[in-house]
Amino acid sequence: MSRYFYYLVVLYMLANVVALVPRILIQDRLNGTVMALVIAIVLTMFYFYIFTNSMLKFPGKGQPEIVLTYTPKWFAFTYLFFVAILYFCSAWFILVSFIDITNIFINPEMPSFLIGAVFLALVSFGALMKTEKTLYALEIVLLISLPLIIAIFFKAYFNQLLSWDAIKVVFIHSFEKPSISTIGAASYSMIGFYFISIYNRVLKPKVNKLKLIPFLLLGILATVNIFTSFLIPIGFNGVDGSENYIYPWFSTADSIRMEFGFIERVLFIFLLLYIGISISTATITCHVGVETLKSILPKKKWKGIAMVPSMILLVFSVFTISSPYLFSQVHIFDFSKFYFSLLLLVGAISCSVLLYAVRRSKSK
Amino acid sequence: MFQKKKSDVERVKPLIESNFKSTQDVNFQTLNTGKEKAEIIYISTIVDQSQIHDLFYRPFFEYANLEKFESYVQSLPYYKSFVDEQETIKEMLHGTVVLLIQDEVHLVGLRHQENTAVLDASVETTIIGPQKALSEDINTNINLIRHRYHEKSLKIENAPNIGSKSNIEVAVVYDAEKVDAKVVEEVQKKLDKANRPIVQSAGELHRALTNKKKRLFPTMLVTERPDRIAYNLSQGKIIIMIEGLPFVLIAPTVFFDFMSSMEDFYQPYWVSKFLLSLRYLGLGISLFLPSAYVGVTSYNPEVLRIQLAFSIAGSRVPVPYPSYLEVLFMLLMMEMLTEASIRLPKTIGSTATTVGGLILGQAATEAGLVSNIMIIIVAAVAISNFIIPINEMSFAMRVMKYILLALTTFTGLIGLVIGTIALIYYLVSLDSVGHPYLKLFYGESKQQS
Repeated sequence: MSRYFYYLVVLYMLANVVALVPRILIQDRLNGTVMALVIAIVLTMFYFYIFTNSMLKFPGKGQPEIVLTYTPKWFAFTYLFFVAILYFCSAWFILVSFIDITNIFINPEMPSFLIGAVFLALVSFGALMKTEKTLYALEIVLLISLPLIIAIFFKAYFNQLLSWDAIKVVFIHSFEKPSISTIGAASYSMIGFYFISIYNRVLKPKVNKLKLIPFLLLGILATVNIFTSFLIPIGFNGVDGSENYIYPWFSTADSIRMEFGFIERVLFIFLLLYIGISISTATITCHVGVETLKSILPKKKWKGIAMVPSMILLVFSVFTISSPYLFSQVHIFDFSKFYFSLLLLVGAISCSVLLYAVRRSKSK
Repeated sequence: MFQKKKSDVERVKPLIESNFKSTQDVNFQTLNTGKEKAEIIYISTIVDQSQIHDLFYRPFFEYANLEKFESYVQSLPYYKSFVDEQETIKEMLHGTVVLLIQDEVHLVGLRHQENTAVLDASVETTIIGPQKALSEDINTNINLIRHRYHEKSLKIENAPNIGSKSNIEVAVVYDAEKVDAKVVEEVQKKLDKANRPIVQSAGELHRALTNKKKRLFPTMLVTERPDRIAYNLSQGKIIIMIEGLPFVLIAPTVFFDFMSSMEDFYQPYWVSKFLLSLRYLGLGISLFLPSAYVGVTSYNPEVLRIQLAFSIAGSRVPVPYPSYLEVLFMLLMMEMLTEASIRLPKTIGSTATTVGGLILGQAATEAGLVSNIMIIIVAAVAISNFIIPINEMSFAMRVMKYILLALTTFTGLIGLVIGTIALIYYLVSLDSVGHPYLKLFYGESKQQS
């Protein structure tokens, strides 16, 4: 597999911290979250395997082309439209949350309108770039921020204030019935593989099947990652205390201190790094969304420039910038729970659609 | 009506006469042995006069036979066959001797270039490594390159002359085995399309070659070093040479080319890696430090350690303005100094830096216009900006710094990070003759594809 594919998967593992996932997990921490995590990992890795392998059967092709060729037209249109909306929802969660985070932690005096406008201008510019160029940009951002983020994770694990007892309490409640939204939220951290649906056009992997060892390594990485993003806030803030935060990870980062660093408070390093991660995630997700939606919309041109992608992004930007005024945090939180649960179902649908396409392509 | 078709001479001669009659340095001369006659026309100032005598006058009288002399002229090494009148005029302007023998027109290129001296490297200097740069003559430059790159696949092609008025010779040089044929085609297409009345420098040609009219970052590299040219040829890049200029254009280039100096190849491995990281550090300082100062002092002083935050606030006590004005004021003064020291004659240069650097800096803090820490920052920015080895890139980054400063002024540290990511996105979105401009692990992917 091309190294860019791993970047896409790793990107979402990092981004889940922003998109309310830790909060949903922590809310259910005494109701079998550990069980939920295990189920989510197994289930998502299953989807991962089927989806990626099916896509690899069509080298150089994206999901829209495949679905439009091998399924009836009415179905392809509904399916692609629905999937594109889901992609945009994912970008929306990340952006809305990060606008909120910026407002809380960095610039409390700045109107969220301005922050949103700055974010979305950049995301729209990035999403309109050529497909392979979004990958180059992602690589640069990731390679700058990844080492520092990993260092912060390690610093958190080896911190003396981390209470392992609190973490043990969570494990006592492992075998209780988990809720669907918790499983969905946990699976969200691993959905990076869905992006191969568009990036398959440019990745050009030499293999037509996912190799077992990298796949298992990704599974282990996903497990470590999701447990880290769930347990560290609990370890720092206590079983009861961790519930009080909307963005548990950022509050946790604020309790880590670097005695000898140039910047003493880890929060700021963490925040600045996560701007990069969130913007990259939103860019990639929007790009995939635009490319998917573009395939079923008419190709309108104005002075030789394709207008449809810009129009889609304009609508998305206006909606995202106005969302902090339209919805309260509670709405967004409830909606995200619904969205994450929906992801589990959509994963099943996507996999079956692709499996069907693979079978059709073989019979032809 | 039957009209006798005019011979070449009858068409060319009046045209040359009407065009050049009033010009003082054009030489019309008739060679006459009594029986045989030939005419010789040239612009004496751009023709190698010492050779004219040996090549034409003496043989003419020695042969004393027009047929023999004609076949002698045709076997001269610089002989060019006649195409049409306009072409003849053009050739004359590039130092060609026109011979009118009987009814035939013969052209012999005898160009003489005054400034063929090879200059010292002055823009990209290295400590150890070749000390000479290029000359201002295109043939001398090709000679220099041939002597550094002995490879039979080295191709030198003449591109159409550039500029409707300046009419400057352009040559495209590449290694046919290494180069990507598509890129050569693209460059030639662009050279055909480039039309500007006057093109005299590599930068201008670069501007004429890019589709985007307004750009900030160079997408082709301008260099004066023959060793860099030879290295780039071996990497499969194309060199575009321009007559009368000790610089050449290299395409396609990637961002990292602009951060590398030829010195990197001449130093031990770890030393060159150290120098390279120093350069990126310098780039970071010169880009981010002014904006970070504004972001930290005006928006988020809590980012820094408490002692540092206090000492910055303490040194800002007498300053009546918000931090962005202070930064802008000092940066502008620094830019003025830099610009002034380029324009000033070398003898006065040191005065300007003393007056500007020492007195202005000292006085500005004492007058309470800027803080002490600001002076340190401006000095660091000014010095580190010049660490970038390629001049064009360092100028582009100089401008970029203000864009980041503006963003940070309006939105705080968020703006700085957003601006940085925007810069990465922008650089990634650029193309250099069809190749991605910024991409990590460039060499590795080249091998794969």
